[in-house]
Amino acid sequence: MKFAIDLLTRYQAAFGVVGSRFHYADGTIQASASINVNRFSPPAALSAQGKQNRFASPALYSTNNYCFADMELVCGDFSIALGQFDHSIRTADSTAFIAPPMISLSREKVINVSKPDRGEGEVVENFSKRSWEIEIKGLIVDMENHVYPSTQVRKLRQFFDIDDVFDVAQCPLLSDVGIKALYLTDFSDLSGVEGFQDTLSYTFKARSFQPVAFQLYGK
Amino acid sequence: MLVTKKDGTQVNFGTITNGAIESIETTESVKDMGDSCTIVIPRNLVNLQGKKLRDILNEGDKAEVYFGYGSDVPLEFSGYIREIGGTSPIELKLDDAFYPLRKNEVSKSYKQVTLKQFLNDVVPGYQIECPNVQLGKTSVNKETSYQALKEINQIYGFYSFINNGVLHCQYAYDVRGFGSEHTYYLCDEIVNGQRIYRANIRPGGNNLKYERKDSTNVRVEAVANRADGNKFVYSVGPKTKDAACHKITFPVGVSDAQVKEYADKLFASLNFDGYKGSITGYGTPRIKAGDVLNIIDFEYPERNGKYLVEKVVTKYDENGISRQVTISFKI
Repeated sequence: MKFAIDLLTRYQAAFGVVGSRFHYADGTIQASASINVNRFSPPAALSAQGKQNRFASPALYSTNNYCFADMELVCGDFSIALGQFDHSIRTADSTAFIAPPMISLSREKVINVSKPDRGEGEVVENFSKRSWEIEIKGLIVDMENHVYPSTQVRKLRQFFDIDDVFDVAQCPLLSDVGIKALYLTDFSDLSGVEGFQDTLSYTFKARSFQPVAFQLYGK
Repeated sequence: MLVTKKDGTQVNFGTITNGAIESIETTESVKDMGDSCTIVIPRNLVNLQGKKLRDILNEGDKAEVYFGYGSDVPLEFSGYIREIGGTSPIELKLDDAFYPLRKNEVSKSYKQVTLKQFLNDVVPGYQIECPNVQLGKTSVNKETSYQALKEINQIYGFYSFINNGVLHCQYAYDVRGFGSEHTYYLCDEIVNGQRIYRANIRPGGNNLKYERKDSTNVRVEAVANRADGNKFVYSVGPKTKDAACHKITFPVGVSDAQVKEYADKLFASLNFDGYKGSITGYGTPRIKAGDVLNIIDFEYPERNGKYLVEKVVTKYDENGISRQVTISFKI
């Protein structure tokens, strides 16, 4: 039996503060994974309604970019889609990763700072940038029978077992920061979500992988 | 890094800031024949057409290596790919202009020959700069030109290097002679209590020792062959058994005065008040083997002096650029 579910309460139970605007229209999940902080409107931009309630929340993302973190990863014959782009909640079965993942990214520069021997100056040498550190968090929900999502857990295990590089086939966020491929380093969490027997939360850690291109000039 | 293949195509590794290159190490020396360069490329490289690097590069391809700070990225090494080793990381070993001379084969035999004639025959195709001396009975049998030059070095003490297509073959202390002068400051300068940032030695990079003339215990022994089979022997320095002895042999045709002059010069280069050892600085100043290094210590100004740079090992990696400079005699 399929029926509409409330993802927001599941995200809150699993991760605490998330998702201000989960709702579904025409059976499609629309989510903005905004964080529930810093949501005060600047005074000048306050609408008449806003003036009545100074703590009204502005719309942080339009509904056009709700799926910016949804991703499809491919390695050989294996592919996994986390977050289902425009997948209809009413047609999702127990194999679909319907809930949009939450991605956090970080990257650092390789900078070497040294003090010359017997000197008080400082020499800063900038070598390059390290790879992106990527954390992917999300929920798996059995959308069909609303029991323990065994199929998805096995799929995640398979996903982590692959010791190879995944091509990012689709993901607006990763593509914007220039990540075209990644490899997994940690399957750091897989745990139940209190109060929801059909839901587990997962966390993966990954690093970006950039095949270094070189130019070949003709004669 | 730019590699030019035999058919004229070029492989450009682009800017190094994208991490295409993990490390580069170049070694050049006044005394060791042939400079070398090792490049480590960390990852599985693909080019725009999806070809692997190993399918594109070949041994013998010409390569130029550039690295530096900011927009100042000068040519640091040019030569040929000698070896493509390793799978991941890939290690490229480059040789300098001597590379073609390691690949050929020469056989020659002389009862008597001048150094210039010998070099013309053994290393054809190069303009040659060398002293005018007779080598006497000499033969080369199925050796590469490089091996022949090595033997000339071992027997007679002539060092060879190639600069701008000219083969130079000369006594070690006639200097390689590129001659740019650079300065290393061992500490900051204090003027009227104000500190001026001058120190440009890497932390822990100062491995110089200041030695006095009296403490060096060296002797130079020179032996010159004569046409009639006799030998002229000349020795400078203490004749004690524990003295480190530098032996040099001269071919026929070198006068007694020249032998003495050379031996005295060599002795003076080994026996002086001054620094010995190596010192490691940053990417700039760009010091090359054969250059002159001016060492300044504001706390011990009496020790300041200029030295011949004998060897430079330059490393480029995550820790920045470092140049380990080994100095030779005082100039």
